[in-house]
Amino acid sequence: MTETTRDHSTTRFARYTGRAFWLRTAIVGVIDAFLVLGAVQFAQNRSWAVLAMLLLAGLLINWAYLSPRAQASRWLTPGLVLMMFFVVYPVLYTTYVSFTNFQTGNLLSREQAIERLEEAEIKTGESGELLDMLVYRDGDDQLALLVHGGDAEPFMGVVRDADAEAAPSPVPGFDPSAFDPEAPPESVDGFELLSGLAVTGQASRLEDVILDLSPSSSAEVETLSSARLVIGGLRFIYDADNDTLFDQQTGRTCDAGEGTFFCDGVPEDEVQRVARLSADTTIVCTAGMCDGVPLFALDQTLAGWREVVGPDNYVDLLTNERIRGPFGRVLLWNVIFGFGSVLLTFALGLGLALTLKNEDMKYRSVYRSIYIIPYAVPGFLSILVWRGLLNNEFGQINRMFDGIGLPTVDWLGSGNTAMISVFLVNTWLGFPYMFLICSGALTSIPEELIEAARVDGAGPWKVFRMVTLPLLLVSTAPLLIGSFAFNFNNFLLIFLLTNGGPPLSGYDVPVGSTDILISFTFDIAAGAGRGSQFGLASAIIVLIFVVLATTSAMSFGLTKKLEEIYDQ
Amino acid sequence: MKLMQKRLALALLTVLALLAAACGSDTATDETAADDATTTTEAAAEETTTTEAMEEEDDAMEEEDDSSMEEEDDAMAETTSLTIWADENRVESIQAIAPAFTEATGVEVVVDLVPFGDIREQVVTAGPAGEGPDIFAGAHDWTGELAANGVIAPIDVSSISDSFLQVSLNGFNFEGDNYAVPNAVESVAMYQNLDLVSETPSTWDEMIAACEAAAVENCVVVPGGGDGGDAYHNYPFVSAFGGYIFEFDESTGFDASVVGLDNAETVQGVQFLADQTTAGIIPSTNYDGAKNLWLEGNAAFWVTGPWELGGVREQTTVANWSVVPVPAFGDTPAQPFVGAQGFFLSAFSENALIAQSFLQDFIATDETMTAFHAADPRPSAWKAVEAEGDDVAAFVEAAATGIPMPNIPQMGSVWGPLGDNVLLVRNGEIEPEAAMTAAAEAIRAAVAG
Repeated sequence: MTETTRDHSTTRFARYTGRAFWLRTAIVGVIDAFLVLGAVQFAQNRSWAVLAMLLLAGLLINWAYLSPRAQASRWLTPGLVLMMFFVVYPVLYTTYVSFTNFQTGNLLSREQAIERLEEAEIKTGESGELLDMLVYRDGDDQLALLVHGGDAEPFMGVVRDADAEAAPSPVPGFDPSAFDPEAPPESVDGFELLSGLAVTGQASRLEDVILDLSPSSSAEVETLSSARLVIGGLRFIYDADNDTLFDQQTGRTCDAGEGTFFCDGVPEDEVQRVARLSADTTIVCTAGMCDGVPLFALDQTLAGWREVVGPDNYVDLLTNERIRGPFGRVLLWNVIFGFGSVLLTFALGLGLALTLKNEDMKYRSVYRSIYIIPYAVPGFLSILVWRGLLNNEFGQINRMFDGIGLPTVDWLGSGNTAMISVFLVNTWLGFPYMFLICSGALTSIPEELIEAARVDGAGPWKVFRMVTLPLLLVSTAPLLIGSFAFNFNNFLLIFLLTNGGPPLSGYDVPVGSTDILISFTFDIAAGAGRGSQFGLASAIIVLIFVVLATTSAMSFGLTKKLEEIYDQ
Repeated sequence: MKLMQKRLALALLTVLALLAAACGSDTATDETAADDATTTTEAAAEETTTTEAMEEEDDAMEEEDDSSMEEEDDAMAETTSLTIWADENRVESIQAIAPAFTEATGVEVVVDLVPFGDIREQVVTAGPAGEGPDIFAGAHDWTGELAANGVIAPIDVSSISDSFLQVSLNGFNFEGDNYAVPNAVESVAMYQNLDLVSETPSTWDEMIAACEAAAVENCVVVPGGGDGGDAYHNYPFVSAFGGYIFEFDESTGFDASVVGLDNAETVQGVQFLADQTTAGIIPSTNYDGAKNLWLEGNAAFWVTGPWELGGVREQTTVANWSVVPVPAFGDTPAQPFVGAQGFFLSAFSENALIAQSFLQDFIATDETMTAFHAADPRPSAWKAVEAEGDDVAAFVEAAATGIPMPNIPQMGSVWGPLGDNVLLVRNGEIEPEAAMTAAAEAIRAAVAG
């Protein structure tokens, strides 16, 4: 080690033991504490992806703020961490969901779904009768149940675990003929009657036990004072080795498939036509017998599970006529809406900025302040006010039209006028922003360039077209792209103003004239259609992401060209 | 490198100190924290002492607990508790009975207020993740979807079924099993402005005549026009002449494969609605438009449900009003949808037994049901609770003639197409027959997948 480097490290050491160092260490410590707490929780929930990201973020933070060598990355780290959690993770997770069948009926994990199936009971006539139940316990902590009521004779027996072999074991000392429900025996063969709090204390054990009444019937604890008679037992037996499910009620064996089990040889009249069939599943019926019938088509309470199904959702989106039709329409309007909004707001904003640039104008600052007002009022308020103003029967605008003898317009009630209304309101909301940035950008254009153009004989229009506008676009183009991206996903405006409406008739999914992709997706995901289809909705979101990313990339390329013009 | 180590040690120290402070109550985490501390660095010794001291405190408390529950089984050592999600209407009544349950069983009850609109969505995601409630409040039309998702478990109410209105139990029955303890029923009726029209109409024609005689500008306001589709409030028209959404069979329930929206009876009903709109009897109003017109005294009749009773009692400028069932369209009484409200049992509950006994022994009682009714004017599903006031009694009457709203999951695909197409008919954009054909086709396509 040479002299200079040692000096260097000594000064560094001095710096790092100062007050700032302690403060920084303390703050990093606080952050670490929260990260560890979070990590424990995510580990408990088995959210491994989030956990991995959390640890990565932790490493990054500790390295950046504790290692002397990482000084340069300190400014970047908070941004990187936030981007990881709020941009990268949602994008990755949405992409993942778009390749799954996550939807109504397929919400559970595979283990949870099979557990549910294993609990299902055979439904027969007498089964399900509710019997009164008393709980007894002996010195060895064995539990015995006494059931009575219904048509059956009172019975007292020792319980077994739910997964043990069925074997009735009655308590010999119990005499059914002497049983009086009003005064049950306090003690039988060393079994003591439990009551109240003591029964509740056994609740978690009681959930897992079964009382066998005879080789073919049993009683399952239903509440703390009643048991349900089960004749025939459980319906399904899951064979983990072959991944098949045996249906004891019908004697069929069903194979595990995509998201659920599929059974062959099902009589056609048992099959219910229900949604949730994925793109490549078909029920084949010949001569009244059907093959490949998913369990939920037999009984909708037999839930399936969620799993990765590959590009099914994308295939569905692009080939299924009932989704593709409205999707194309919505996409087209979405692009028109995005470009139109940027164009209108920019035109109005620029026009006003140019007008107010004129220094001969009086009260310029007053006008400027007034033009900012729409921007300063919270958007959702303005939108709701506009919705009221545009109301067909009670809105102020139509009342005014009526008052001066003009025909009234159903602003939000029919397709074309609703689109015009959307543009109108969005222009109102968006022009102050464009006005602000144009005012700023105009001042940065060198006056002598305009002078020179004038001297060369260009009129005002030509000056604007050939000099002002190109120079203005250099600095505002990135903001226009941002504005396009924002409007492309302007859910708030559409949701509050028209909620996508007026509705379009004749499509198989709910869709309206002013629906943009994000509001259309919201309806699909949040259940206005057939339950919630998170998988399909995610696929649309991914497509939106692709559209926006491509447009942005292309637009930035365009900006570069403009900059080259400026450089020349 | 030494420097880095020292800093890491310091940072770890801070972490441990904070962890110890944050998890003071959680013994398990403390132990791991303490273990880490002893192995990491000597400097942490101080910290460890504090953590140990806290642990001792915890142990002492546990011993106290143990001694007080000597007679109880080990199972009780880990505290059992019930989590209940209730909406704003029911949360207070549940909170009121929680202490009594804790006293009787020793089980702690945690009652959370969750807005009604959020419950359905949240149980579907929170349940499978193991964070959901044991019991939650909800409406009967959720039954099919929640059962199909495996997030609710059947509840046996056969021993007390006679105490409930049958229509409420029908609402929560899906594929032969009951899934909730009902507490209220609801259906639409008409709020009548007695200052504008004084006599009670028994048929639709009588109503129109009364409106004309009194020269009322807006005779009857119905949500679902203007810019907000609403299949629910317009259903009396759909069913007016025998129309229906899904075929219903007493033994097998609703059959999603038979959609009746484009049959002649339904089209006739919707045509009737279109005629009323054209004639100006029913103005083009969405939900809020209808509400405001009536509340301000500008409409004679308003078709909506008992959930508006509280607001009407407090807000309306109408001096004299009453509630009457929707009048008969022809010979038969109008048939609005009947819905039910109740409490579901989560399939993910780890204390299903205790939750069941809470539902049966504490919710299904006269006092609790009376409390629900006092807090929310919807007619009670519990027969022993008497309707509070004539207006509630009128809603009970309306519910008696109504038909149960389907609770099958496919109902989710009905609201959009039906509401939208009825809206288009009311706005005069499309003919009734074309509209109902489009609605029926959309529903068939959605049901078949």
